[in-house]
Amino acid sequence: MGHNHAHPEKAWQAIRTEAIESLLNEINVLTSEDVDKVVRHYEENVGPKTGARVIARAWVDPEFKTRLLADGLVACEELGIGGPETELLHVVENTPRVHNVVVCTLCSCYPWPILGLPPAWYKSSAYRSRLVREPRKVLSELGVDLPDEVEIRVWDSVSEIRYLVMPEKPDHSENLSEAEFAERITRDHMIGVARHIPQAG
Amino acid sequence: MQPETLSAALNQSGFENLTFSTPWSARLFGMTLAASEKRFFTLQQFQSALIGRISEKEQDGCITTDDDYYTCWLEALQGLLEEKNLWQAHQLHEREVEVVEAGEHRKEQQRHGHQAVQPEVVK
Repeated sequence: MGHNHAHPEKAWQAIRTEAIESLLNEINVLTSEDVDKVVRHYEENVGPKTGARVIARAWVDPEFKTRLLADGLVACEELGIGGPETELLHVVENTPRVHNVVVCTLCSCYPWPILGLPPAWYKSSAYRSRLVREPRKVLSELGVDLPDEVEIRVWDSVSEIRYLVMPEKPDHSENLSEAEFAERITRDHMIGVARHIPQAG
Repeated sequence: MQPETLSAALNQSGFENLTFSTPWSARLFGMTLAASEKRFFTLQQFQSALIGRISEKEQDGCITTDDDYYTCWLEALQGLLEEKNLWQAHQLHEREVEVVEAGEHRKEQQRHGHQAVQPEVVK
């Protein structure tokens, strides 16, 4: 594998990555600025707060919610959110009888432009293989205990479709503003490994 | 993976803690998106390559860390680029040697108190 045993302080993956980038620079395929731009965007601009903003808008604006459920990407564009990495965004709504949860069994497809980068556990073999097989058990291990009458729908992002879970709007939350809703919605709610939205901020 | 490990992993990754776990994984991710934006390959082609690599890797064991995962990513990207015959195999190896030597040189300079040291990677 060409691992660099002589220099254990630097991972062979780091060495190979740097070498590939250097060759790509040299043959004018990519500049380092091209790469910097993408990395900076994902480190600084994109993250779960983007998704939280989308869901919070849907909670306060029923017409936006209808558009979001009909075509996620088009509705997100209204808020200036989007990117070339997602072809289709399917927003799936939790109800008192349905809980949705997202996985990618084959690799780690994830709605990057809406949620940023996936957490490490999302990419793990354990989550990817077990969630489909025993969703109720995995969710329970993750602190989401669902009564038997709640149906669990597991969405596998194997094609070009990306999924985003719309959690249930908390009861008695009429006093909360759109921004306050957004503060309470986490990445885990939008993947579906959390369900309850706290009333207090 | 044991249940408690999955739980622990979930609890570790806080809401805001979403940047790359290593500088090299950030560069890899950036290179892949930038190369697809320049239409060197489509993200679907990359996804297929990554799926293939992950599937091979999982025949030997599980993916449990970000490093495992991004190693598959690296091998997938390398494979796609090599299919384009952008360089000869020996060139990549030689460049790796140069990268290591450049790193040693920087360290040597640091040992001798030189101030003008370039960062090894862009953050």
